[in-house]
Amino acid sequence: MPSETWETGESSEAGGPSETGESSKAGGPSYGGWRGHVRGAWHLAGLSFWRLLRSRQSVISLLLLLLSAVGVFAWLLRRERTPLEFVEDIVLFLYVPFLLPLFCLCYATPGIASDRDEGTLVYLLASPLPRPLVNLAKFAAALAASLLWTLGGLLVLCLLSRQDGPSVFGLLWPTVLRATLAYVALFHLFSVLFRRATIVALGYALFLETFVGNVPGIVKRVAISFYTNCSIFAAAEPLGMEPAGPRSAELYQPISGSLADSCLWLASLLLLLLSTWAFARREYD
Amino acid sequence: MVLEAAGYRSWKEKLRPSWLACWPIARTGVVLVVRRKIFWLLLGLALINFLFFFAMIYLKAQLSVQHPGFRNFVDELLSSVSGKGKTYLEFMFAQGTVTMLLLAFAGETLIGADFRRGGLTFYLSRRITRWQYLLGKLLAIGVLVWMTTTLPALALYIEYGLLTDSLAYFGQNQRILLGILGYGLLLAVVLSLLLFALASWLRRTVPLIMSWACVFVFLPSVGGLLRSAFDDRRWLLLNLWDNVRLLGAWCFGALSGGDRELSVGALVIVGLVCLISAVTSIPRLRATQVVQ
Repeated sequence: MPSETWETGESSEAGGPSETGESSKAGGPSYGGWRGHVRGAWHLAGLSFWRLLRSRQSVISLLLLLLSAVGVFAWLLRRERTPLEFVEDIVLFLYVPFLLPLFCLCYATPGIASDRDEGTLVYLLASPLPRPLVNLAKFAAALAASLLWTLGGLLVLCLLSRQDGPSVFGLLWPTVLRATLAYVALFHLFSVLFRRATIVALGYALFLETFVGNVPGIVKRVAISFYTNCSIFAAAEPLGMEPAGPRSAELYQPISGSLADSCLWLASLLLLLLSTWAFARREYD
Repeated sequence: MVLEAAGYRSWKEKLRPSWLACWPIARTGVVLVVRRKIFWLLLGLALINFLFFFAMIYLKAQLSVQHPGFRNFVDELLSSVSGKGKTYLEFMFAQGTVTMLLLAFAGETLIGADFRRGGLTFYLSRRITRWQYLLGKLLAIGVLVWMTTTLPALALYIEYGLLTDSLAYFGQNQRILLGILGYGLLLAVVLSLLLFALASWLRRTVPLIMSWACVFVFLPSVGGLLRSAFDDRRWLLLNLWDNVRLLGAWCFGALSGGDRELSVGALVIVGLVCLISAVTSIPRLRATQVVQ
């Protein structure tokens, strides 16, 4: 009995999906076999990426970035600023607590949750792609779109801060890359678990992180922003950065930069594994 | 065919005035939000601050009774619950983050979904004018705002009065009651108009939440940055939530010297936000979508 290849809907005379992933006799792509699965996941990731980029949240992200740029420009008007002031006033005050999580939130939370909300998840799950690959494809799309905005946004703000901008960007981009990865992994997990993932993620980013960031003790170590801040303290040491004021060693109890980086990598990996496991096991209505 | 045979029947009850048509819309909207589990989660978060204030007022009353000699010390220690207008003003202001989260969720459920899934067409196909629809939705949002700000503040006011020796507290502090109601009304009007305008424009959850967070988190941050850069307090007027707080402080009669300077600017900005929100919302209320 002839079977049908996925997506093309045309008959294959091979009696089942192609194991090699080569084109079927009918000329359409076949997604059987591991190579076919990878191709299918790649196709899904690309499709999701472009869909995310063409959404309204890109327009609002652009507006946010423009507003931030205007803010930085106005901040520079009165007097000459040092790169250290840029890190303290712009990166730690504006970029890390607000722009970074929000850029990640707007691309990572719609991943699975929007498909679920719009009823298209059932078609995705009916495809022959294994669920872990579907999850990884969605994650990869969200990560690529988020990185475009987080790293691009940092670059724009650094370049606006005049001549030392590229060197500051060179110091900070690895931290932003790790933090983006961790935020996207967390928000993607929310997307897998909750229908209203955006609200939960917003609650985490704006309520929980702010709340635990201001209480004494080690409870603040549950927040990604804590590790991001510690990593920035270490990365900006060549500029003369020291934890001071509300982020002093006594109050904030920062950890070393290398430990913070390791925690961000580990958290990202664990959260991604958790989301893959949850997505593979979960029954969606 | 006889209509009665098909199950149709005439309305036998007394007809209510047409302007009350907004009430079922508001009631249905509130029920729609209250049914969701996430509403209760957010309400639980909102109640954390309320429980903190509630416990502080109780602790203060208990310590004052058990150790009258320490009354001044206790007053100084627990100055945030002095029982004056500032206590309730600060409590309602501190509810901002959770109220913002709750409204971000409610905006998509109450308004965005109506535009995306044809609810608006259904409503306007009945004998409901767009003004009644608008008023009903604004009322529903206002009720949610009251649930997180005004009602808990009223509960704290009653608790503070009942934990004193007599009912004199209520008699001497009637302005506080007016302040709570006035500030609550102001919050409900401003937030509901702004939310309606944003939700009817953006419709989907993520863009709505981003713009909502931009208004209530990002603009205040930019304002704080520019304030320190230019050493000019007028940049703080970028914070809409704080502008409403200034007007709320006027309701409580608790405007401080520095705040007094900004209050006129705050009034102008809040008025403009309400006006622009109302003017941009109304043309979007159509039973059919015009395709160009």
